[in-house]
Amino acid sequence: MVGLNHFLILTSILFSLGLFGVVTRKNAITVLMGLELILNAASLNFVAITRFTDVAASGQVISLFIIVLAASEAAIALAIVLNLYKNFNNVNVDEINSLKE
Amino acid sequence: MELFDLFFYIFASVIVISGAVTVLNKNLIYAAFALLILLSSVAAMFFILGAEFLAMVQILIYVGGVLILIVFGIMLTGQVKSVPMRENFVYLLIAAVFTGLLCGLLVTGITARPDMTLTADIASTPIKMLGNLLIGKYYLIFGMLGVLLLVILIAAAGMARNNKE
Repeated sequence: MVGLNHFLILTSILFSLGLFGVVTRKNAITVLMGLELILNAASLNFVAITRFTDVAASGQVISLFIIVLAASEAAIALAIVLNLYKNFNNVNVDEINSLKE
Repeated sequence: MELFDLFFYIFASVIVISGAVTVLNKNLIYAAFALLILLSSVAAMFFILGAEFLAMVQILIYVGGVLILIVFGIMLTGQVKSVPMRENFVYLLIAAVFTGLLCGLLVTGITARPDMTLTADIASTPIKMLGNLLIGKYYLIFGMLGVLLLVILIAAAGMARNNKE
């Protein structure tokens, strides 16, 4: 019988995977992918809690907001990554340590 | 209920495996495709939880928008087969230990509390309810997100523009 705890455990695993990706990868775009994992874990949590408790559909609305925020975050982050590539010729987060050339 | 359990286990294993591939794969394009599978499986999870509208939004915006942006980013920066991890093994080990510890902590905290199971069969959330919440209770956030999207649109266009003559 699958209950709320199953969903919470799944999202904790997803969150930990995303966090591992954020702290271990050097490429800025993969760091972004790790962030997407974390955001997805959060929104899945909201939807699951909405379903298993009786809080109307509030969690689903918050989940919708998370999706919108993730989309805008990806757009800005990609613009920054492209600018970094133009200025430094790589997107390695270890080597990019100044705001201006 | 039986079908619900079956679908949960199938999609949960797909999510965990594709998440691991996304994080660990050396080839960035493979990682992006694993992310595609992961996002679709999360949409399927939304679907079995009765949030059909959210599942559709997830596919439209994440798979159709964010993932395409990421693939464009990978291709435009030419980093398809870059060195993926930090070379230092110690960093990797520390990161693995601490994220594993965090995950274990979360799981023990979750299993300590009593489980909640569904009392009735899952019915889909009426879209009317979502719309009423968006325009009623959460109207302030909704409006602020509209302003945010406008700002993001202008900022991203301005930043990505090539202003070196």
